[in-house]
Formats: sequence, structure tokens, C-alpha cells
Amino acid sequence: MYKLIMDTASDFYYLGIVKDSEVLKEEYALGASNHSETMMPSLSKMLDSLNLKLKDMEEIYTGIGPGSYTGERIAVVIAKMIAIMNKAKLYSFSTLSLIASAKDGEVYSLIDARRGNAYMAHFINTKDSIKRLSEDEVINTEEYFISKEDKKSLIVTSTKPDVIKLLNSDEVKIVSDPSSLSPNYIQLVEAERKRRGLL
Amino acid sequence: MLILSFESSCDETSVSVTKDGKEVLSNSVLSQINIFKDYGGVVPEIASREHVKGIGYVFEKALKDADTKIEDIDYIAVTEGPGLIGSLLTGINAAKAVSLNEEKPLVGVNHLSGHIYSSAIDHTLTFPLLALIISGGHTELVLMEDHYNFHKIGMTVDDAVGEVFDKVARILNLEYPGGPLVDKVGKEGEIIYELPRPLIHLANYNFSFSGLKSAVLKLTQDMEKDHIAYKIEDVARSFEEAVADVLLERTLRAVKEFSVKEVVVVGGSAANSVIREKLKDNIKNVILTFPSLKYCGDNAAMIGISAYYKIKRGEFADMSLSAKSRLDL
Ligand SMILES: [Zn+2]
Repeated sequence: MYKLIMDTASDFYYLGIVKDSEVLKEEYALGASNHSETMMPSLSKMLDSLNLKLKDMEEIYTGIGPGSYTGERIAVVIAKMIAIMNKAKLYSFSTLSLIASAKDGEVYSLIDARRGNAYMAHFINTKDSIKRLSEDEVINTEEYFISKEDKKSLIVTSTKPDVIKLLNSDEVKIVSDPSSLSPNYIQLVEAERKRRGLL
Repeated sequence: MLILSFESSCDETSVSVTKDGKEVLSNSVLSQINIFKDYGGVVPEIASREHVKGIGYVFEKALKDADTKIEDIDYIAVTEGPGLIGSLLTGINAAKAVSLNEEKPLVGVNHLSGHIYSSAIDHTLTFPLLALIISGGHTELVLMEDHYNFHKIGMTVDDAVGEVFDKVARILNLEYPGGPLVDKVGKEGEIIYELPRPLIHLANYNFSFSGLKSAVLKLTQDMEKDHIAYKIEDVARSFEEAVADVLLERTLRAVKEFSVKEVVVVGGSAANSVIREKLKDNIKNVILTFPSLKYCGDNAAMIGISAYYKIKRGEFADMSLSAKSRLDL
């Protein structure tokens, strides 16, 4: 059973091909201005080097953010198209849970959201899996940790994830209609907030 | 040769199957226009989000409408620019996924070339050819000696034709998008107001429309100040006449200077009835071609038709294809 795993919502993109529960090949790298230009050539090379085709991937896993709006759309669009064409199973996960999988124990997973803000979720991990303690949310980094100075050492932002731990967790969710998948933006577009009188 | 094409440069998500650079087997278009009525214009981040929501459904519909299986497609084409980066990326990433999955070559297409080639749907172009591209984002005169030989001879120095229609619509309290509504109310009006024809006496091929927009604003404000009753129908009709006059003068002069055999008028504003009639009545002795109305606005069929001629030249893209907000022909 081959699994393709992708995430493009943070500055780093993750790309991995897993067979059963063994990582055959993976990449966690800084993408260029947008991940589409770097990740797709990498995916093509990765498949070639393993002598595999995209059609061999029976399960597709994609990160859906939160994170960069432009970034998170990339993996989501690619994943849903592959799932539609091949009638492969599609699963989604939070980019924060992917990032959290990098470390054991208590973890605060963070992605920069600019102006001192971050997307954040709190996890407690074992050697084999990850467990969520709080929902994905936007926080002001300084304010949030002001009363938790000792917790700052538990922050993870860009360490290479342990994707097997992620796949073993409850964090991967089946997407029953691949076409319907959208990123988790968390925030409304500013113009929409204004129109609804929320600003 | 079957081409599957994607277009998502602005606020239309579209996928099409075309055959041999001529025949449209399907052209599935999901428009976001109803969403942007509430905003008075396109909001790029909202447009990007809508493209992601729609792309899978539009893709499946295009194949179904064409009664074609993905395995039967020979090439994958996609708009690479110019346009909104976030919007373009959805089409590009979807096209890359299909190209890699089906192991079929990928072609990046210029959106403006797509508009020009919308005139080649079910029609053979004759060269030398002059293309007048008029839309919300573009106003350009392009001379072509042959397929894929583009010489831009003129462009707008400020607003695009579609843009000035939207702005005048706002002045007249008409909804966004302004083009169709100005056209509709203009049909009930008469040409009774003198409005400027900017740059018309200059011997180049450039356009300027912001002065015309200002003149419409001043005209209505002055009449309101002086409590003179007026009909927006007459203002709309007089405005359309001024735009059509400028487009006609530029086009006619280029037809003579470059001895063109065919003129194609393309883009969203090519759907305007005053512009169509004015050009039809005055451009004689050359072939004058307007795409059918459904191919005037943004659509993927025109991208597939243009791609056919790029494929013939052997010009392909690869998995590193990027979105370009600006891209010359
Ligand atoms: Zn266009």
C-alpha cells in the first residue's frame, strides 16, 4: 500500500512516499517563492527514483494548513486532483499536527502568521503517535507565552516531521468527497469581515 | 489531437476539452461574478479560495460534457499569466497534477493569446491579422503575420475598456460588473451628450479612457448640481458611442497601414452591442470576426485552442511552471 503525503502550508514543504509504515523517501525543504515550482519537480524525481507512478499511490494525504494562504492551496489542489483522477482515498491533516510530530512529549506547534501572530496548537506526543490538546487557533505569540515562559522551549516550528507518527494518530481524517476539500484558513478574508460588519 | 485546458487567471474557474485547435468538445465555466457583486469588484484572496472550491467539480464536468476519458487526452494546457497569482496557481497546480498523473505533456499558455485564439473556434484565421483585445484587464491592438507571431502595436495608457465600463456603471449607480448593464440601459438611450474621444487625433495606436470616465463623472455631477433631469440611458449610450469611436478609429487606421486581411475583436468587452455594431458597420473589405458571446469572457476553451498552435511549435512547460502576474505576448 503506497501512500503519498504532501504539505505546503508553511515555509517548508513536506513530501513523502510511504509503503505500509515505512518511509521510502521524503523531503522537508524550504520552497522557493511558492512551493509549486519546487515541490512538483521533486515529486516527479522522487517517483522516478523509486520506479513508481503517481497512479500507484492508493492513499493521498494532504496538509490543509493553517498557514500561508497561497501555500496551503497548492498541496490541497494537487492532492484532490490526484484523488479524483485515480479514485484514490484522500485524507487531510492539520499542518500544525505534521509540525508537532517532529518531537516527543509536550509540544507547541507554531506557524508564523505575521505581525507577531502565529497559528498554534498544543500536543502531547508519545514515541509512536501524537495527541492533540488544543484546537488550531491564531495567537499573539508574546502574549500567549507571557504566563508560560517555561513552555517556550517546547515550541516546534520547522524540525523535520515524523510522518509515521502522524499517520498513526487520530489527526488524519478521511475526505469523503475529494472535490469538496478546501484549506483550513481559520480567518475570513479582510474584505469579507468588513462586509459582514465584523471589522 | 485532444487538449485538456485550464483557465483560472481571474474570477472564472474553467476547464475545457478541445480538438485539433478548432473544435470545442466541452467548456465548463464556474463564474464567481455573483460573489463579487457584493464587493463591487474582484477580491483576489476570495477569488483564490473559490477556485480551490470549484476546480475538482469543473474538471469532472468538462470531461463528462465532452464524453471523454482522461486517458484519451493528448496534452494538458494551462494559463500561466498574466493574471492574479493566487488564482493562476490553482489552474497551474491542477494542470501539473493531471500532466504528471497521466504522463502527458504540459503547455503554459498566455491568457491574451487565449483571447485572440477564441476567434479561431470553428473558424480559420487569415493573415496578416489584427486582434483588438478589449476586456476588464486589457485593451491592446496586436498584429499577427502568422500563427503565434504577436506584435503589440498599441495598448491602453490607463484604464482598460472593461474597467471604464465598470467605473461608468458605478457613476450611473449600476451594479458590478458594469459591462452588461451599461449595454442594456444604453439600448434605451440616445446619443445626446458630447463626450471626449481621448487620444483620437494622435497618430499612434495607444488608447486612453480615464479622461472619458472623468468627463462622464463631471457631466452627471454638473447636471445634478444644476438640477437638470437626465436619463442614465442617454449617458450610457453617449459613453458607449465615444468608446466605440475610439476603438474604430484605431482599428481602421491599423487595417490600412498594415494591409491586414482579417480583424478579430475579442475579450469580455467584445460582447458589447454598440462596439460590435459600430465595427461591423464600418470595417469593410476585410474579414471581421467576433467570437460567439460565450467565448468572449474568460474560458478554458480559448486556452486549449491557443495551446494547439504552441504545441505545433514544440513549446512545452515542465513541473516547474510558475504563475506570472505580468506576461507579455
Ligand atoms: Zn481575460
